Amino acid sequence: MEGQIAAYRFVHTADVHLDSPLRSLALRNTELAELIGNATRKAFERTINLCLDEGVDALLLAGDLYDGEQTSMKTARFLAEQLRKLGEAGIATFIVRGNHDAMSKITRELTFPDSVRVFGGRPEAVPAARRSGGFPVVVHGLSFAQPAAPESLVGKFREPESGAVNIGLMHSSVGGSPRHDRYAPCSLAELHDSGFQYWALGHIHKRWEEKGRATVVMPGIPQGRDINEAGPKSVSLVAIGDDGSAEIEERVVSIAQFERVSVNAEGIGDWTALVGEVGQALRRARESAGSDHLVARIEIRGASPLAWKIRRDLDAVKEEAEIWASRVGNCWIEKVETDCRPPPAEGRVSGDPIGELTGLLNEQVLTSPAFKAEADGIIRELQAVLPPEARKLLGDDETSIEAAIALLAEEGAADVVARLQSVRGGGA
Amino acid sequence: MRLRRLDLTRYGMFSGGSVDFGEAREGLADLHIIHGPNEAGKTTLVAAYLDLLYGIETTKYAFLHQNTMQVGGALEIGGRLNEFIRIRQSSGSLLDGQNRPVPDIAIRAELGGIERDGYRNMFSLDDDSLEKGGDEILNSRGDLGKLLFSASTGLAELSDQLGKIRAEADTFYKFHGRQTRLAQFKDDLAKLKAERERIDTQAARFAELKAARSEAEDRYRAAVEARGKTQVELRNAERRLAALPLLARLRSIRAQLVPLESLPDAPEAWAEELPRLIQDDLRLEGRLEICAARIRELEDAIAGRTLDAAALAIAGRMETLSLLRARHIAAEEDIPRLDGEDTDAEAKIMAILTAIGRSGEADRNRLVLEASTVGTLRALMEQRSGIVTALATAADELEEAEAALADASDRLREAGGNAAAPSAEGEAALAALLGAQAIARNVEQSGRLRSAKRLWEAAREAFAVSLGELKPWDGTAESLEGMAVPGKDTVEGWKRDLEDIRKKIDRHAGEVETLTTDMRRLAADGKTISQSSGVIGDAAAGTLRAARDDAWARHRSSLDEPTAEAFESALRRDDAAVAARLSHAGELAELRQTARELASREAQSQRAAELLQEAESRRVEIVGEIAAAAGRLDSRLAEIAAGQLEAWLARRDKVLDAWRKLRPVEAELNEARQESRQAAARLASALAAAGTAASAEAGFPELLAAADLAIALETRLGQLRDRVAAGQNDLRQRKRAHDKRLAEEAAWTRSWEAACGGCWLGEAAATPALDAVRAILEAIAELGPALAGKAGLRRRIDGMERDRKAHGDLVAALAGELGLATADDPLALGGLIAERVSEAGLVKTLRDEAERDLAKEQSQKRLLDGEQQALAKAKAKMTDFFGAASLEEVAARLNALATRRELAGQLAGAREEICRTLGVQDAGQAEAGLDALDQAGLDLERDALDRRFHEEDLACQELHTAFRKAAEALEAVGGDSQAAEIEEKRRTVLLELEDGARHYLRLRLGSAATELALASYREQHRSSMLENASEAFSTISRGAYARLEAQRRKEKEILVAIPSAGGSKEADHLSKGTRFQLYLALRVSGYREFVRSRPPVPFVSDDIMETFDDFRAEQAFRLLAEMARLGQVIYLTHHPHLCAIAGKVCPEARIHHLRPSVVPASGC
Repeated sequence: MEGQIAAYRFVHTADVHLDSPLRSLALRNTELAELIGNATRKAFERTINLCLDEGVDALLLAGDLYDGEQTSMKTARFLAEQLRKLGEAGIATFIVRGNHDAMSKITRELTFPDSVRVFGGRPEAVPAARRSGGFPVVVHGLSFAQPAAPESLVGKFREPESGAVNIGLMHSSVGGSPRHDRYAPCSLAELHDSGFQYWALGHIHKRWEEKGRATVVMPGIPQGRDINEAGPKSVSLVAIGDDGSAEIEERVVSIAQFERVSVNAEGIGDWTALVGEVGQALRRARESAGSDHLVARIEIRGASPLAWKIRRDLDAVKEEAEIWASRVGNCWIEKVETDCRPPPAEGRVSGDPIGELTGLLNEQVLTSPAFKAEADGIIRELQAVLPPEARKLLGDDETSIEAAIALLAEEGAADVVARLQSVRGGGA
Repeated sequence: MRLRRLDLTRYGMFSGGSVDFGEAREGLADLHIIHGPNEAGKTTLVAAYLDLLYGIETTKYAFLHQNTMQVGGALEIGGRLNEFIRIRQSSGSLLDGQNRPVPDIAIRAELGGIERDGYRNMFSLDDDSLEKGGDEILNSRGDLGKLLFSASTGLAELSDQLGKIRAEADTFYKFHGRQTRLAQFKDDLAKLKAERERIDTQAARFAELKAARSEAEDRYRAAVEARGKTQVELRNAERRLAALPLLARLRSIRAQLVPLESLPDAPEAWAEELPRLIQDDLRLEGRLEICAARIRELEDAIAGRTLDAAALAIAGRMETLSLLRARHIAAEEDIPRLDGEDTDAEAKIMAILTAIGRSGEADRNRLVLEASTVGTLRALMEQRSGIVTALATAADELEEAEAALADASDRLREAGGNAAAPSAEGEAALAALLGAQAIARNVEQSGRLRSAKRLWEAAREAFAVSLGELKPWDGTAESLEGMAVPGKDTVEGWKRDLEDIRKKIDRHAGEVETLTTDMRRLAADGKTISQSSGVIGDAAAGTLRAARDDAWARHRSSLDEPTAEAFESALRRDDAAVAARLSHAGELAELRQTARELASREAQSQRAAELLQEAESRRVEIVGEIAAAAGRLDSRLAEIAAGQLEAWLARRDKVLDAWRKLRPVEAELNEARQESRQAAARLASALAAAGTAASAEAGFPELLAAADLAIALETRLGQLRDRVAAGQNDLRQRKRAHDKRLAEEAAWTRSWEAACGGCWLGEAAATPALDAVRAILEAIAELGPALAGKAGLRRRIDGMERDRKAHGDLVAALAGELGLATADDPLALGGLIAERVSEAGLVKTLRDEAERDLAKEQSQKRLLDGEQQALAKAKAKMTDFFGAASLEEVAARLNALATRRELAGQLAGAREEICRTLGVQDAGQAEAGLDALDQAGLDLERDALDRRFHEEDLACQELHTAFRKAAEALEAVGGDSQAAEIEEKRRTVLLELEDGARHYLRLRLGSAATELALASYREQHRSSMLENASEAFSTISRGAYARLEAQRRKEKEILVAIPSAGGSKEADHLSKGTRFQLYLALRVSGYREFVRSRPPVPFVSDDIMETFDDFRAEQAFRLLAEMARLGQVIYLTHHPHLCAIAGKVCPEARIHHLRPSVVPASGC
């Protein structure tokens, strides 16, 4: 870059969800809980260290710093402490509030250091201080004032300042339907038409970017919290030149990465071979993962003569997988699931009592009103004693609950049949 | 699984028995009937089969074989034939065909989990197990019982498993259960929540803390301000109080300064300089006095020392004198000793010369020989003894060789030989003899002839004996071989036909007998009935009626009294008979029935008699056929009994066999004889060629002995000839060696003469002998060194004489220079000179030292004088300044000046302190202000202020503590992650709880669904088995029972049989036979149910139809035949008629016959 005007460099992240707990059964392992507990904090610390190491001009936080229900001031204090470090190093911080922040009570009580600029519910445009001089940069921001914003916020932003690089900081579900989405839906066209050079967005937890007239970046969540936030997670290190062109680098800051590891048991008839397949799948997953730790959910699929045994001895599979995981290193098993079926030829032999029983189960019993009534009773009894946090175990609405029960019954019947199979010495 | 073959290797009474069931035949029933009389081992067979499957169980069948019991067999498993052996052993009792142990599971896996008792009760039946197992079934025990009443065999244990699953679910949650995992999770959640609440600070609480801190801070700041003001006032009052004593001191100093004001100011350094001046003055005076005394002392000492010049002049030569003196003393001691040694050396030389006879020799050195000459002589002397010895040895050996040759020649002559070599013919004859002897010996030793003879005799004996067994026939083997005998099939055919006919005759004769008995009984029955009731039979009634009708006809034609009476009488009899028949209708019917049966038996009897007759004639026919066939073979055999022909033919085969064996043995014997004869002939001719007459007929031992003798003689002559040749050869060699030694001796003598002639030794008239030269050489060995030693001694004596003279000369010269008188003893004089020179040296050293010290002292004195003058000048300067007389006075003035300076300093300090204390600049003003103050008033004011300050200070401290606490509380919120960590734990517990709940639901829903499915399954299967059993029972009972029904009585279901005629009967109320039929029906249906879900196993039953009539047995076999299409069915019986029924119902059934204690044969 010698001879050119120094680029404006900043780190852009969003949806930090500080202190939002990881949701994984893998944390039952206290060793792992020790290693990756508080991962959102650790990832944020890494983000701060990235800013300091790279000596950037600013940190841009595009909303959802913490969970909406988050009420602990310890979280806020931690955030302020981290941002203070940036302030001491002469790095500015720009924050817009997202839907979660708007709900949050702690936002109001927190005092940020002077280096932090929190945009309010009215549009503002702030000239960015340049450490090493150079072309003017203006940061525009508009926060969620309420937990919901049913309309696009793009039109409310100030006009871009001519002769300066304009950066927009916004929490928004880009591409969402204006009628159903409550999180400031807007279209990509709107963003490109805005006259801004860079849109620093937040809200969607999966990363994407698009370069057009404006560079639009949704950095994604920097630390996945459960298997539904699987895959590599990162923040964006951005350098914008005086012509508005942006160079974007993805930097991994996550401590742990969740991955679904699929194992194809198709045609595998030997237990050792199956375990070996699990091990290889884990090794491949670990090799391609960028984070310090890999938390894997193993999904064994395919038609296999071992189907009954896998289903019955899922615990044993998990233990084997854990041995493999420790061999692979920095790899942990959250859960092992299977939907394996026996190959069609072995599925149902005429005259085989278990086969006949399975047929009765699937064709008559599971759909019968008698069973449904009994199932209802069992579920009602359990729900009455579950703690309030777990009441939505089976879902929110009638349809999803019904589907969940049907699935549980089907899986449960398969589990039981698998065990019966073993009683008869069958099941491979 | 199918039983292909059962081997009773060592089991019960069996040894090596085996039953082969053959291969299953596609599409045909696999039904096997094993027929055998009592004691044939049927029950043993069944036990052996179960033992093969499950291990040898009891010792019941060990009476013959004890621990070596063994059963085996071939089982078809999964389409493959597997050989197994079972031995009696606690473990590893199952072996494969190669006697290798195999696990029991190899068989067990095929049995579908049925244990021995189960198998016995279900599918391996005898009277006992049929009944026992049947009761079990009816009481819903055992596998089939459960199958019938509860579930299919495959699912019997599943209920238990469902119970286990339910129990597992209960560990997570159970209604009213306390120790569940769910409860534990909920407890953990609550604990974590409480823990979090304890350490976490929520936003609202944070706001409160912030407000509290601000308020505490404000209050604290206000208190601090008030306390500050009080503190200032207090400090002012204290200053003023402190300044009052300072004013008094200021004034006292001023008063002390007044008398000192007139003194002039001297330089300040004088105060230090003055004491030094006084001290220096005293020190200089003392040192000057010491210096003067020392100078005087040194000058006196120098004057007292005079120098000896002459002695000092020669001091330089004293070292040379000392050296010469030492040599002189040594010579005085050594010269006499050396003279003695010289005399000894001369005497030694003279002794040597005398010894070699040269005492008069002028040139003694000439007699010493050169080293090379001595060497040559010594070498020759050493060689000499070797040469002499070798020559003597060679002469001795030559003599020995001559004697040995003479001896060998003598012996050869004595043995009758000559020294000439043997002829070629003689050698060839010997070689031939050796060869023939070896062959003959081999033949003799092989014993071929002897063993061939033995074998031939044995075979011949066997043949002769077997031939004798063919009587009445006799003849040669060849004629026997040429006979056209009937084929085996023909003989077998006759045998089979005879057996069939015999059976037929037995059966028909039995039938005739039975029927005859029946007929007699029936006739007697009829008679009894008629007699007891007076009823007559139909025939008798007919006779009466005919008599009546006849009488009537006769009466009509004559119409007279006699005919009328006859008619009346006939009518009466007829009426009486009719009346009797009418009144005894029952007896009449019985009578009629008896008559019908009698007629039927008569017909049957007649038929049986016919058949018997037919069979008899057929038998005679076959016997005749056999006799004819025998007669065709040989007329003498025509007499042989029909049954014996087969045995005779077997004996014929035996004879032919023995004859065939005899022929090769005979050939071998002939060959052996031939070989033996040839060998003897060859040996005899070889002996003749070698010159020994011998006959080939003499026999092996004699021939062999003659050969040995001839060979030994020839060998001995050969050895002697060899010895003579060797002796001649040796003699030639010895002669050559002796000549060589003589030449060596002459050469040595020449060398010796040459060596002696080369030195003075040769000067004698004759060359000296070897011993003389050796003595001379020894004597003159010492001559050379002795001559050299004597010359050395002389040289040393001359040198010493020279040293002694030089010393005397030097002493005389030095004495002259010192003016000393000369004396004879230069050693004593020399000593005097040395003493004098030493004395003079000492005096000179002492004088030089004193002169150096004197010069040093004089220069010191000059320095001290200078210092004294400078000091006097300094003293004058001070006394003049003060006009003082002495330095002591000057010191008093300087002290007064110092006191004045001290007081001035104190004055300035006091003024400064006042200013500082009061906090003012101007001291004058301060003095004036202080004058105006009142001490008592000031004290009161200060105390009041002090109290106020302490009160305010306490308040400040309290407020500060409150502020600090508020700030700490706010600070304690911290940015640590504890709350988040707990939250994360809580989340994990919640996830675990949810996971557990889902698992719980899966188990509960899954087991609930399975239970429903299981109920439905049982319903379906019970009805299918019951239906099967119903049908089977109806079949066996030939429709007497329509079906079976399961009826609920109290708590349990029981099985009842429904007769076709209506009503219902529990199993207990059925006759034994019918009950057994019910039990069999249950097994048949159970077997069908079993093979629906599993590979079939053999169904075995041991004579369970004892109580069945033939018709029901027939139906039972129909069912078994049907079963045999599903799996192998084996039925054991001792009833021939059951075999027949089975054969009729199922023509493809295979029948195997067992005979008591005989190896079973299949398919007779």
